[in-house]
Amino acid sequence: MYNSERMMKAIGELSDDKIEKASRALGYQKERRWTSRIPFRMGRVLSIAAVVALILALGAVAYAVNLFGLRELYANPNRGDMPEEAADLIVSQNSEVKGDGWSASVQETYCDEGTVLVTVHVSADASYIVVPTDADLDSPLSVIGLSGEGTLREYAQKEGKTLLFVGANLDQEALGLNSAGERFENASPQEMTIYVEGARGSDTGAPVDTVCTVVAVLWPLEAQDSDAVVPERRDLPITLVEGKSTPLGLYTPADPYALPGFELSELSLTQTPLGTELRLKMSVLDEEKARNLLTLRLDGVEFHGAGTIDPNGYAVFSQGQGDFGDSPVIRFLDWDKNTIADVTFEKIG
Amino acid sequence: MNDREIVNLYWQRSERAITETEQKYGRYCHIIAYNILENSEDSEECVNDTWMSAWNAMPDKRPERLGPFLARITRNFALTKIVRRTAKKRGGGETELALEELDECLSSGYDLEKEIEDRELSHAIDTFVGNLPEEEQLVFVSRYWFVATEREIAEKLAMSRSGVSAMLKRTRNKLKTYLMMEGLCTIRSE
Repeated sequence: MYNSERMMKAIGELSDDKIEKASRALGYQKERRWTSRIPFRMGRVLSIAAVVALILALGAVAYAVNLFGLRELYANPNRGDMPEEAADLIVSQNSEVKGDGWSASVQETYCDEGTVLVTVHVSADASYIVVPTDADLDSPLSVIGLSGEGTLREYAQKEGKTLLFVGANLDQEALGLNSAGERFENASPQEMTIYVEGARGSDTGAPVDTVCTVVAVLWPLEAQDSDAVVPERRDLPITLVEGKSTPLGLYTPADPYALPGFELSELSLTQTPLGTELRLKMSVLDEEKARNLLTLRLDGVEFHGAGTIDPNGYAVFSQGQGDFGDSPVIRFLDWDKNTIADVTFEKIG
Repeated sequence: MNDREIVNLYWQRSERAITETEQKYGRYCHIIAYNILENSEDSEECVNDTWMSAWNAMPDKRPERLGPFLARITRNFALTKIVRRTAKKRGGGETELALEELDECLSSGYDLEKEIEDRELSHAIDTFVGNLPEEEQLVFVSRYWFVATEREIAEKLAMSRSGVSAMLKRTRNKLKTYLMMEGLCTIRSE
């Protein structure tokens, strides 16, 4: 077992009181509100910097003026702004569903061979407070971009309003997604933009007519248990137009068996509007040895999208930035980030 | 229903024990699993495995506090699952980042003593964490027990993200020194 795994295991044996203290501080230890299969969170990339946070009183509102566009939500300090050629491929959508006192519409989409991005705008009438599905009644006001002390429950009670939890999902199967996550940005207590980012796998097929499913849950404050709330799912039809990708090269490994536990075969590198995409076919020969592999790096390139190995046996890494040279070298790392193998690939097409 | 009543249901072999556990701790365990696995389906599976494991453990066990008992089981299942998953799916996930950070404690030419028992290491780390100032302890446990992101920790503990990051770095350095002083890690033989 590696150092880091041993440390992680040892930390797992911390005493109960330390675990409980931290779980309370994180707000984890609360009863389940409803059953949902939607992902919890990808993390809020946009900070509350957009919020003028000067007001300390409970429920004081201080919002940025602009709503959040897909281009703005994509950008983060690690990967920077969306490249212009990708931004040009953002498509405005007009699909809308209406619920009882609320509505949701797909605003913008982006799609290429490796990535699908969607923004959904949710608005509700003044009797609701729109909150993300990764929050709960006792979450702080900051989850909806408000400054001040107190919880969502307290704020809703004070304002005499009902909490409306909302989230959005993409059809992972139809889009061939290996993973997807969402994040939430409120523009006001009644308006929220949900940003969904999906990483496509090796078997993505052609662009499709698909749906983005909005989940809405009304949580009356007087409801004592999850039986009283019913998630409402509404499908928003969207048509994705896949941005053009340019093959950069097809390569073969100098030594297909250089990585213990695997047979490596073709590597394809493609230029998508969001950056370089890597697809490497790697068949598992020995499960035990294969477990030593944590991740891979392509020399000279940093990937900013999700990196996964999908069930078809392809490593797929997207949104790469940098230069990999004529003979790309892939470094395979174990769980201690030690190099297991450096494999050079030769161009064959 | 309080923990003692739920534990009694387990001891009575009442299937209601699972329902009550799911109701009270379902979300909690799901978050723990999801932080590590970053996948809803795998997390759900992990949580179900936790209920099964609890069902098999009680009796004989009678945990005083059900929350940490279940949380620990979920965390172990999730970590085991993520190691197994390496054959199929890898990437720069939060767990990998946390492992990388932990490895930083020892990466400068140091290794954990191979001969020490895991129990000894656990005890040492528990003592170390117990002696940390309150806030530092919360940040450390949040990051390395719950695998919460720095951003989430910053939000929940009302700190800046850079503050969380700097505090974790300091704590890791202190932990490294502590482990060396305790003779639990040695210079790596190249």
